[in-house]
Amino acid sequence: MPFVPVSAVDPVYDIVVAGSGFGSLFFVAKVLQQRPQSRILILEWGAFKNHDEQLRDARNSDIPPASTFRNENDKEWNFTIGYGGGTNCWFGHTPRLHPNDFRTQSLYGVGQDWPLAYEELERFYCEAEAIMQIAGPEDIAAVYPRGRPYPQPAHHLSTPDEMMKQAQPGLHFALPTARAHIATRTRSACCGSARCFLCPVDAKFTAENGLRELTAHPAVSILTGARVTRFDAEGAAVKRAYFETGGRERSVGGALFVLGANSIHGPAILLASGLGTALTGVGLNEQVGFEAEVFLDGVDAFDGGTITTGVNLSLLDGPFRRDHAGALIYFENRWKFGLRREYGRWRQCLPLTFVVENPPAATSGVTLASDGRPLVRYEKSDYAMRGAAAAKSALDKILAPLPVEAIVDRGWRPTESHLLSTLRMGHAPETSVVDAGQVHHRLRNLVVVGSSVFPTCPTANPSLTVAALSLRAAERLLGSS
Amino acid sequence: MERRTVLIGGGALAFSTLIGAAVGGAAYDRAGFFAAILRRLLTDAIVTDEEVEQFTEVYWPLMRSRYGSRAALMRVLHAADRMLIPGELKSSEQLERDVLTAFLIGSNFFQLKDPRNEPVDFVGISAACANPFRRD
Repeated sequence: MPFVPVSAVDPVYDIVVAGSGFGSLFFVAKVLQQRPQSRILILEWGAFKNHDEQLRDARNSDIPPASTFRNENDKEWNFTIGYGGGTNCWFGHTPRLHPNDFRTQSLYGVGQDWPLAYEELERFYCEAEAIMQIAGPEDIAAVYPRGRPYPQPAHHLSTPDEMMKQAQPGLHFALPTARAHIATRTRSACCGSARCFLCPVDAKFTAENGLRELTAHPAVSILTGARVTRFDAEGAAVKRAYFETGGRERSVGGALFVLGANSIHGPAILLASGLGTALTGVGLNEQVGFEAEVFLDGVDAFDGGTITTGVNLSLLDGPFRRDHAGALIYFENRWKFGLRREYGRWRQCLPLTFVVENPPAATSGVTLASDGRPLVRYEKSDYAMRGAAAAKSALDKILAPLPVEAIVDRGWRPTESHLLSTLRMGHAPETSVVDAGQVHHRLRNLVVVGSSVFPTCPTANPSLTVAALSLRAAERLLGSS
Repeated sequence: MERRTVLIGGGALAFSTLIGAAVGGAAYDRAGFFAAILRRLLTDAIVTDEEVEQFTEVYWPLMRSRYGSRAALMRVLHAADRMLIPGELKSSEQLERDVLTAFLIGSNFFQLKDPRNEPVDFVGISAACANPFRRD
């Protein structure tokens, strides 16, 4: 059993991994696929709470995220500290990044270009989608080119989605998702429970139900309750990882180190190690989100197959991105604001969620507070706010296929639960922390995984892209060593 | 005069006058509070006191939990019919929609041919697969 007590931790491993979210586990999965004999230690701050335990306790983790850092603003940041990280709390939305998201500087003069193109990531997207058994529509390939069909068929659209799709076939699609449409060996089919962070039927992909081989692999050791605090480096190499467990500090050596803590704690570990650069921790951000409710005249909603059924791409990409941010519009299949009060018109309402891209700001970021905890500050970009305003203005026109009675702004969302961009990837150390293979520019045996490497903050939910990047990073590293 | 008749006759007035008793008082008053909302919105649907009391037993703790604290719930209840900041629901509207939705989804209402001729049974609030409109 890979979950080990601290007494069973060896002095040295081939690979030492800090954190166990999407980034870390997809990296480890690829390593084991290619080099199953690699001895790997995963150090996880939180506990392993299985699905039943999470349901019983009505929470993913016993460690509240806000208790782990100091915050200069009232902006919320949400994440799960525990084995599997964000695979536990996520909702399973898996849109890809748009091809143009990788080159916003070249195309629109905004943000940074990624050091890789969509085409280079495409086969890793397919691989990650296969592992997660994504349910998605084939026609969306017209926007996001793909080399393989989705592993599962898309969920049933709602009636409002169907009307939108009929009128806007190239812009409105079933949302790709890691909520199973067809049951797998380890997951039930999604039945639209609409409480994905604690899916009652275990239908969405998680580390526990989707990467079981990691917790049964003889070469893997997983130590939970072990918070990585710093690295020790000599020259261009990390030598040891220090971690706290049971009130004591310990350390472990390795040939390769993988930093898979999130975008708040990842840079904090490097800063606490004295291994920061001018860009370490700079740019913390996530998408800007807001909600609206559309009241419909004579059309019933909520008859789709899963919690969020449709995604509208009208505002995703185009020359307008020179001026303001793009946005995804999610068509919800849940009564987030309740059914209607008028007798017989219960379902004539449609909640929408807007997710607006938000370039990292130099004034946002993570430093170390005097007590050693990460200190977070954040500013929304004007670019994102202009994008949100443009989205609100465009809504009447976008919703023209529906019999709209009224549109009500339901306000800003406190968080998208996506932390990004504090250890950005790029070609040069002057503009990034890690290289195109996610290897630290100076510390050549340190790989950074997770959404902290995103050079920009596109509209898409990041987890699928994180998984694909980790598969690619592991393959590049093993291929080149 | 039957209690039900009083509640229906009281309409919106019953909503506000029942607030204090509902939050601070006994289970009976809470049931009366929910009954006032449900009977006004469900008009002639057949909902017995027993069904409302069963619903109250299940939903009251959830509502307390949703609004965070008794004080927060009191604020929402007392803000009935007062518009909050732009973009937010009228507090009373949100509360009514919450109560109505929980009752309808947790009952056989949507399986009945005509709830005005058949009694509505509250079954319970399920965490799983609770969407009666879902198409697979």
